[in-house]
Amino acid sequence: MNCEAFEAILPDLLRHELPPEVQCEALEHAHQCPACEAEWTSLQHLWQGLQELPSPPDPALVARFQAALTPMSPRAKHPWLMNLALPFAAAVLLLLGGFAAGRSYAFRQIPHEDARLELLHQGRPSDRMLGVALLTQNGAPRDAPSAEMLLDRVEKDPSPQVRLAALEALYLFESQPEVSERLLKSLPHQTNPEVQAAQIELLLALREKRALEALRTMLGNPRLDATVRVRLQKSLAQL
Amino acid sequence: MQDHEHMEQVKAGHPEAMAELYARHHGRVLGYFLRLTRQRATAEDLVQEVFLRMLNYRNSFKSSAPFVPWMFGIAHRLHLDHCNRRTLEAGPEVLEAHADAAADTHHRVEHQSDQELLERALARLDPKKRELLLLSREPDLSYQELAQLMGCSLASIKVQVHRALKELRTRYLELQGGAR
Repeated sequence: MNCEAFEAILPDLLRHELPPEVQCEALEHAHQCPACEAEWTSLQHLWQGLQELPSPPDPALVARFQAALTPMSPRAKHPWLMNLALPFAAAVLLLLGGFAAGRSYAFRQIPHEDARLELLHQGRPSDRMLGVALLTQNGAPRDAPSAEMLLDRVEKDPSPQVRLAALEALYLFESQPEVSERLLKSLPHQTNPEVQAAQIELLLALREKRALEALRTMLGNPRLDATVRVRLQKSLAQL
Repeated sequence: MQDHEHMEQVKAGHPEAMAELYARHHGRVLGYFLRLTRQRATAEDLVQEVFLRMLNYRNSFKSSAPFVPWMFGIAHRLHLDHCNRRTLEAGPEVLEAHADAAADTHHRVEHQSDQELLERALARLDPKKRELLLLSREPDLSYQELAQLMGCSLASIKVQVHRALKELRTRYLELQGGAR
């Protein structure tokens, strides 16, 4: 083996992904060639270091995740989530909420409206996600004030993830008449294409005819993100 | 029970099966995001979102395919989305401020362990190269799977990993020279 061949197989040598005979040949070459040996030794040292960089599990994260999953189990004592029209969408909200729930709130209790309002205005996006999740919890009212709180997040929240979660939650508030109108009004002000797309999809689900126009306008933008374009084209095809 | 069997349960309508997958793998995903974002809270949120996306996209998991590459595929795309969101939402001045803050941390202290030096050298790499090294160190992710994930050929991915590793060595030696 020459130096060039040795150099070419170094990535495989580092991962021990070579046939044994080729590995032996490569290492033999390294022993006989000071330059290749130095290269091998230094890169192997770094590679070893990369393998050993810690990625420790975080028990607190696991506990929060498990706490959030428990009520989703069909075998759970109180399968309240099964009552929701969109169990997996709600599961998604719960996961986010459950993550933040570990910080301060017992998830199965519906906090007072003030507490929900407080959460919705917290500094951390995951806390505001919890606020959104609590508004969709079984037993929580599907009323105008709750819809208002969610619409407020869609319009004002700085985090696109929170805005997306609020839009997801608004599927459960379809009977509230002001939802479509407010969503249409705020659509031109959304800066994130993913949020815009999600908002149009919600409007279409609410059978809002004016959303079609917004969808076509968005598709007419040549600078539209490719992933969002595909998603919107699918929505259009499904109509 | 193996990872793909848990995932099959999730697909069959048992989201609680995700708990075991989370317990097994969240540490490595957290390490991946911590080193890419260098922000604990952001990394934790992204870990949650990876597992959340797995629930959302559970039907895209193929029983015959290994779980870890699928998981890192989701993590990789989520990181790209995260970077795009930051670019869109944070003005250039904010991004520069972040870069300055990161640079400041590079001027810290003297006596450091090899591991700390390596973490700092890694942080100095171009984000794409950093991600490539973080993924290539994963024992459950072959070069072939990494190539598919990154959308390039097997030969190309090996060359890229090799180059990234050499650059990491340069940064590491710079820091070692400055620190000792």
